Amino acid sequence: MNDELDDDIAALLRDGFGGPVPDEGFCDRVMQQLPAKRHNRAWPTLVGIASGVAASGISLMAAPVMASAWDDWLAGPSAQSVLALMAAGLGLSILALAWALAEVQDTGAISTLKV
Amino acid sequence: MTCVGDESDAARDDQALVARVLLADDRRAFEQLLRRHQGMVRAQLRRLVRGNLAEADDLAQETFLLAWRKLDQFRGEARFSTWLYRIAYSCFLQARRKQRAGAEHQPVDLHEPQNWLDERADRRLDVERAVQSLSAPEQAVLLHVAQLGLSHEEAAYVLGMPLGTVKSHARRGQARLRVLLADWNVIADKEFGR
Repeated sequence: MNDELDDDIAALLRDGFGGPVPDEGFCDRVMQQLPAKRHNRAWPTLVGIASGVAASGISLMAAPVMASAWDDWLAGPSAQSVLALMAAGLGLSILALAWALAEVQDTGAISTLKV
Repeated sequence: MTCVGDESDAARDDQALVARVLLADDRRAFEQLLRRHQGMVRAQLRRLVRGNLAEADDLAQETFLLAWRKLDQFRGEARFSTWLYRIAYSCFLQARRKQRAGAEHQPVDLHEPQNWLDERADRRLDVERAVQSLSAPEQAVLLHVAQLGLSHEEAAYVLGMPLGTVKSHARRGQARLRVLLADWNVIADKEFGR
């Protein structure tokens, strides 16, 4: 476990530690503070994703860029509207990546150790 | 000292309790997790806040409330206790940042033992004084590695430090402790093999 700590130093430190703290009503106090029900965070995320996809779809349907991009794609992949759509997709991917990295750094969000 | 088998059994029990909380919203299962781990988490925080028992318990309560809310983020790849230590350490750092942002920050006199230690034996006081003379990262590393019994990898996870940094803090802290304790005759030089 602590291969790089000398036994005598480790023993001195452990001796001064004192071990776990007795409960003395702590758990009861915490249990009284617990919210009645755990907050389920899955459905707001799903609703948000569905709303975003729907809003994007509706706005793109009204704009001619999709049809134009499709026609241009058939004509050749370097068309301007195709490149604009690809740039938009790339931007969204970068935003999603930044969000995912921020989540990773959140308190205890990801455990990276093997047991 | 617990053996590896005991630790893996305890880890499996924790995993089962976490699953019960997540799947059935089982408050009793969470209460069991709380009772199993509150002692060490509070001990960790008491050391970090240097004996301010009320602050340590406030932070411990915050830690477990956060664990309740964020339990679905526990992937089970680390021990549940390690995950809790990490949350507790984050709560401690956040509290320290708020205190620094406040009007006044009272520096801790590293050479005066705290009141809560007055009743300890002289040797423990000397060890405590020696530990408090180390840098904050060295103290944090030695607390988690030597006193809470974490591996260097687990300590790196809890403290958010690279593994190499944890190891070098452990080495430096230990070397400084050795010098201080030898100077104070807490342990004779020969006991350190010199």
